[in-house]
Amino acid sequence: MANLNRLEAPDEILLGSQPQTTPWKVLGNGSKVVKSWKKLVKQCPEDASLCYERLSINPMQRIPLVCFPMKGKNFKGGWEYRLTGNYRVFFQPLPSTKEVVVYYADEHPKKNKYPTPPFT
Amino acid sequence: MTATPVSESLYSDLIFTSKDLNRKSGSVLDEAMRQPVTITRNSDTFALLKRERMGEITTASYCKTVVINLMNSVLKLSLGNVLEERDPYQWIKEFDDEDRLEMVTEVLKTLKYAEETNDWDELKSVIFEWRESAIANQGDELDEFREALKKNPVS
Repeated sequence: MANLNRLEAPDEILLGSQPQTTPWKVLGNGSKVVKSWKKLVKQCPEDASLCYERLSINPMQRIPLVCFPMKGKNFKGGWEYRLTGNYRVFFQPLPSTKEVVVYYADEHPKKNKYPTPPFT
Repeated sequence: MTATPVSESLYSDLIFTSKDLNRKSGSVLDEAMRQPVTITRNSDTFALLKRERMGEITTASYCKTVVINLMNSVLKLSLGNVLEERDPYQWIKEFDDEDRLEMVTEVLKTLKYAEETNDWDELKSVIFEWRESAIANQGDELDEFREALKKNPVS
């Protein structure tokens, strides 16, 4: 795993607060993720705060339509957090070290080409 | 109370005329509170039941239609057919047969749970989560994530 950086909590980014010790350490994979996380925090501070809180306390708690393990073999072990309608965070929880590695924190990865689903 | 009638029969044998409804609406409504009743007027028949119950029936019916359509799309792909451009379940193409089988199993299990508990939200969530994972498969934005999960699997 390359270049893991601690992701700052929204309060640190927005208010300059001191880092808090949390049950799970939230890391970003590479500087691109750190940068996009900061941007996301500024764009949706409340949603990002809630996301950070959940990831740092209990990242493997499924919250229907919000936080859930990904389906299919390609992303086995990966989790998705639906921050808002347009923003997503993709991460891997590592229970042995109590770390959460965020690989993506940005707009929905692809403007999907599929027809609108019946449930939304 | 389950939203799904155990048979095709929804209404009890309690039948009231439209005159009954006019003259003793209180007792007709009391009965309709307990179970759906039929009101007749000439050759027409009407159902009278709690709105909440009607809502449950409508939701159950809608969700089951969604599941049937989803299964139909899976079957089409399994038979080597192409999904229509406007098929709302085109996203299932992002998965292979093995994944689709896993999806079908999970959806049917959740459908059974919904029928037993009348909790249809879980079914909506499960289908949503599969769709989201399908969309993640679409582009290359998550390639690094996918690779990392392969290199460092966590059971």
